[in-house]
Amino acid sequence: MTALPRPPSAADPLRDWRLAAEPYYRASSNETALFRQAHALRLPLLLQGPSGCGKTRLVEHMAWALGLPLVTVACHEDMTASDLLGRWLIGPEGTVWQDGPLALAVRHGALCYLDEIVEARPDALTVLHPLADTRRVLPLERSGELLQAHPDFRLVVSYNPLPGRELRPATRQRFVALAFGYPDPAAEAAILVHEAGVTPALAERLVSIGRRTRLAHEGSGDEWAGAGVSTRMLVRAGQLVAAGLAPRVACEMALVQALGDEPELTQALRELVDAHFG
Amino acid sequence: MGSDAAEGCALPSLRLPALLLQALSGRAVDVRPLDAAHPAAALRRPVLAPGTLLLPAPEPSFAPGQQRQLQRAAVAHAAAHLRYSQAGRSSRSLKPLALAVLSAIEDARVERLLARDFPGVRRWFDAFLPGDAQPRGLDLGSLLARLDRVLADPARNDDNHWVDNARRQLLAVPDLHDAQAFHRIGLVLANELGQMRVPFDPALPPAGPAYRDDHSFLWDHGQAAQADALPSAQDAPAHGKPGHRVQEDATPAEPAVRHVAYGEWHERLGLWREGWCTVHERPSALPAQAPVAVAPRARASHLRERWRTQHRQLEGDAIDLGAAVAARVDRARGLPWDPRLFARTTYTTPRTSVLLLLDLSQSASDPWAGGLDSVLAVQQQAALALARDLQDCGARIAVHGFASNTRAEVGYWRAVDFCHGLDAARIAAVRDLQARHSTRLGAALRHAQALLGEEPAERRALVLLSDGAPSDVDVHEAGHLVHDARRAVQQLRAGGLRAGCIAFDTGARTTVQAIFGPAACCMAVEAAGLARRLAAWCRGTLIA
Repeated sequence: MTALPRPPSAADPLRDWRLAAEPYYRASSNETALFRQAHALRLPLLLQGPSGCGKTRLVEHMAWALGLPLVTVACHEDMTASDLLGRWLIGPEGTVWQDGPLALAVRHGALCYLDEIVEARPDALTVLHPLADTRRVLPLERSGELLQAHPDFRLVVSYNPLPGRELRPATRQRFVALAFGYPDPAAEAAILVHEAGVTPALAERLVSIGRRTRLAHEGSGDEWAGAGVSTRMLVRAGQLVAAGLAPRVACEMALVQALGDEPELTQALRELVDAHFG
Repeated sequence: MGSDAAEGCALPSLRLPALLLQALSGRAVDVRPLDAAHPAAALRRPVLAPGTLLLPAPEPSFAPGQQRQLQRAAVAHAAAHLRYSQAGRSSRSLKPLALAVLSAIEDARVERLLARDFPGVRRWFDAFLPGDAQPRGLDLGSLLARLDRVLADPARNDDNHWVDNARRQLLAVPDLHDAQAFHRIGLVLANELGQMRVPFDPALPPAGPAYRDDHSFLWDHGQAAQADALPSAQDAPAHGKPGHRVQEDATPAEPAVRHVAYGEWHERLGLWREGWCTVHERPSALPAQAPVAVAPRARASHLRERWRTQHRQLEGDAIDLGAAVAARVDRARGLPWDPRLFARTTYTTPRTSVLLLLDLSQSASDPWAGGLDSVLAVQQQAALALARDLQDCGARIAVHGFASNTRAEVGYWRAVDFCHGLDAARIAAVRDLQARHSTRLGAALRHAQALLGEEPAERRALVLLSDGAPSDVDVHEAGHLVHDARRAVQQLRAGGLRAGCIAFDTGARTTVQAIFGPAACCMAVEAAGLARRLAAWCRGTLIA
């Protein structure tokens, strides 16, 4: 018999979503100040940029800085409104209502972060509309409840636009937005040194590899798997080197094989890695 | 790993060198094959221009792994020039011997610079430098090769005075970026060689390893030495850009890959003639390449999706009443009960495969009523637009063509197969299809059915793009091939496939409607919004 999901603690419903330590984040520009402004005005925020450039890390850092629990939802194409709002469950005591992650954050006052919102079906996202405008309410039709958002509730979404995958205007225009790119080379190298524990010289080489795949993507129309090598991938390569792997082996695992399946793409990256290491 | 990874790689599309060149140079550079008719083709050296790199055909004597290493070194050398060399310097007042020496010195300088930023490329270059056991000649080529060797490895020595002196002077330049300093030294060294009467034949290929370019990038000999401005007799498709049209004066007989016999229906006799026609299936002229991933499915998919309810789920939108009742009963009886009590409703998109079949008969060369192009050109454009639209919606697509020359020779060309994606090379293959002969439609439909029938998709459709009625030079009975084609369409539909026709001539309306039925036909006789209308018809009528 499968156990029912553990209900939130009655004493602290958001216990499981409170951050235990400060997440490291190195600002590239004034994004943290702009985040605070949106927070102060209770404006829903959309973070737009390629995968692995630091959007989620910013959200985690700001949740910590603002003292908010962080409820994260990884969006996917099978996600329905019920997955966000909640559902009735049948248990030994009968039927009970369990809040979904969005309802939990709205009810008790957390920062709800919808990661990769474009992966979700548009009809599942319409539940955000009354929350993301001046009403700040969440209708729970199945339980017959109209949730008024807690004063501490905030909504943040991340968005990585690709051809054929876009937000409906009615959803997108309810958000204020920050555009993200990859950090500049010095900042990215500093991130690698801090996160992966590699030497500055190795960090510079890894950053050079990443930058060159992004140059190729931006300049020519030949795509390195849609976005080039991300900062996240470089951190993982660095972590593998710090753990004792040779740089080429680490790059093969964390960059080449992770980038995509097209043989020419992976071979080109493999040769670029080879060019960087004597 | 590393350089060993080049060993097993065959050479073939230019996407790999293009990606590498762009990454190393930081520039968007077009990479194309060096055409045999190019003025510099005889030198068998890469030809570099600021925006283009032309790579020669693979060396026949090289193994595939070695060819890949040569190509990789050529790309790195080109990247070095693009990063560090001044293009198009005036060669006025420079004699051929001086040009050769200055070019060789510049080659070595930029390679050293590149190796400082990318240490791994030193191995790529060194693999093609002469080893210690190489002949130690005293002609210009040999002396420059010996100089290359000692510059690449300063720990090496050479007992030739000129080589040793050149090495010391060049290695003593404090700043590798100071091209003028190297230029001054090169002039002096060239003068010394002239006084030494060193043998030099300017007609020979440039000195240096085979991966180095022909130096046309470095010098302006009085006219722009732009590789991409030089005319080529056959403009090969550029990698990374839409394919160019390849103009062919005539269509030589192409070797058929396989011959397949099909029957034909004779309406008046009521007779099925087994094995009456022979289809000659010919492959596209492209080399085999790895399948290209299909583009991600558009979020707002135009392929009609279906609701599907999944019962007995652990989580879901609603309670599965039957499962809940059964669980209650089991619980009341003291038995273990199944906790999957929910129903979940999801969208599904059935897998779809569409085969676009082009009528390549001679009449397709006639002008199209809706514009200035020929019917064939319009059919090709329509097919490509449809293929892109369907591919973007997640369907697998194939684009084939046919034309017949009697029942014994029904030509069938497979420009794009289901396993391919619609990339630049496949687009070029569609545009290369030529018009010829006649339209024995029934045999072509049966062959297309056999290919489409192999697709595992839930929805499979064939779309014919044609301008007229079926005909062939060995058929004189009116309507015979129309009846046979209608029979073929019936067989298609009986096999669970869908069939429709896009007709590009109003005169063909009656005929195609007789074959496919009015609802399955679309007339394409006006240019305005043609691509959009055809896509809407295909998605809404044929595939929905």
